[in-house]
Amino acid sequence: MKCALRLRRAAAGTAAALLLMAAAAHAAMPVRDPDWPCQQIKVPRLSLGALWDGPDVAPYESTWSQDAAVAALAGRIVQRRMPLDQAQQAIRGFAASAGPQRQPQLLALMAGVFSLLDGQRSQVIAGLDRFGARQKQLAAEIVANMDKLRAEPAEGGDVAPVRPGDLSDQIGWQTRVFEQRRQAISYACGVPDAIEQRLFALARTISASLGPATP
Amino acid sequence: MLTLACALPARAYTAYVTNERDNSLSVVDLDKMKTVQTLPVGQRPRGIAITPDGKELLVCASDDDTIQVIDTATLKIVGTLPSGPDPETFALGPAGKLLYVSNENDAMVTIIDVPARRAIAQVSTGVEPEGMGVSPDGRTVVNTSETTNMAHFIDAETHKLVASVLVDPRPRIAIFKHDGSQVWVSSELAGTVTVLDPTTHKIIHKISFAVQGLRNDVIQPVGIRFSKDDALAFVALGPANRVAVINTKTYEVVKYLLVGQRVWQMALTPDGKSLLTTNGLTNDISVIDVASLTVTKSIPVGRQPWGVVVSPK
Repeated sequence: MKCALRLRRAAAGTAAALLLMAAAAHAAMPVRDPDWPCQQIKVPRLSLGALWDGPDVAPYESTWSQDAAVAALAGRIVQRRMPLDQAQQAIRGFAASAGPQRQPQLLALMAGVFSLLDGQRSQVIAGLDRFGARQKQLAAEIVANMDKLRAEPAEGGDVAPVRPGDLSDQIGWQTRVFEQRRQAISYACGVPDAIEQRLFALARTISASLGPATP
Repeated sequence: MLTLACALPARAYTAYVTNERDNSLSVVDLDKMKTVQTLPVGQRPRGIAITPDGKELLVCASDDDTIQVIDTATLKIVGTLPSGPDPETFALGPAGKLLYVSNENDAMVTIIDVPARRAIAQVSTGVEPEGMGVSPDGRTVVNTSETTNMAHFIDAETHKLVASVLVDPRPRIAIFKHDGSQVWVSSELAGTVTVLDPTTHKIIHKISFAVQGLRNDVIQPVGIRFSKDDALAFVALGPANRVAVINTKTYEVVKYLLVGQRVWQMALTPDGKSLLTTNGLTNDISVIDVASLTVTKSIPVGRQPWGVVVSPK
């Protein structure tokens, strides 16, 4: 009786989890990616046009990394552990000391910052894709085990045998893992947005540092 | 846009911004250009309106299934309105008495008597009603439906559905020009704005957008506002992070202004000189100078700002 109850609980929990996963898949539908685990719409790459309306940055896309000062600063300010206001201060300092090279140096910096943060972000997206695929696989295993479990009583009697490591324990364990991972994902799903946020803030500061009117 | 009818001094306007993620309301002093107070409100605040006398703010607390009434003098919550489930947006009639609320889940528009704090009628509309607009004379209400992609015209007196017009996918906002001659409807998924004649219910024009270096799918029009003289229209383009400025005579886009990330809603100051935009991911509002069409300032508010209204002090 206890076992049957436990089984029912496991089954109900799993069903709820699978439903939730289906809902997440539905939310991500516009991109037609069945593995994407987030509520947010999947945007694999960013466009520079969404955050920049200053002079053309394209000429610097292939050259920024050859400028040691630009590359060093870009590499430093894209680190999310560096507080944003410090990063912005570093950009202003860089602009102030660039002299007549201020504009080309800042445009090169923009090219670098965009390239690095977009790259960082797409790595996170790829990680979320892998995570989504693993969750989907785990969900499929749980469903398969539940099917097996349902088939068992019909063969051997009305109650499944109770022994350590049996199928019901496995389902319970798998469901817990599934659920824990699902809770962890909501934080991870916010990371691409956080990177985009930082990119926009840095772009704003670079843009504001371009003009002669800026301090 | 709800503005005060009286002529108060042009300075020292106050803007109120709902922060969807922080469950709070930011009070922004537009003279000092900064947030001067933040107060807790209900869960997931989105739509916001201010009564024409400037005395009360109405805030949709979507996850609390209610609309909160806030006294602008004390900034205290002084009452609630029976909004029905999951209220997202609403439109206040020109007299400030009747509030039209769309209830996404039960395909209804609820009409609320604001001073009496009670619902007086419900009108059945299209599936998943979304945006609400009221004509300047208060006689016509327009409601958009996300699922059927329609703009429904409702007679404000009889509460009868007068006409339904097919627009582009995922219509969001419906708004009348100040002179009442046209209704503009934004379609988020299609990336277009449809201009409708509120008398004949015919489509007059369809506006598309193109921003250099941006894929079309990130151009998602939501909020629309008209300049005081109706000569310009402003359309918030969501993840394109821009506001499109449109000449309302030629329907041409005059300029795209880079504001902040996920720009959804806007409000004009009562003097018509400044336009405020809420930038959902940048966690700030941008101030656009309407005369020069430039972005002059960004003011930090709470997380995920959604709606904004302005009132003179």
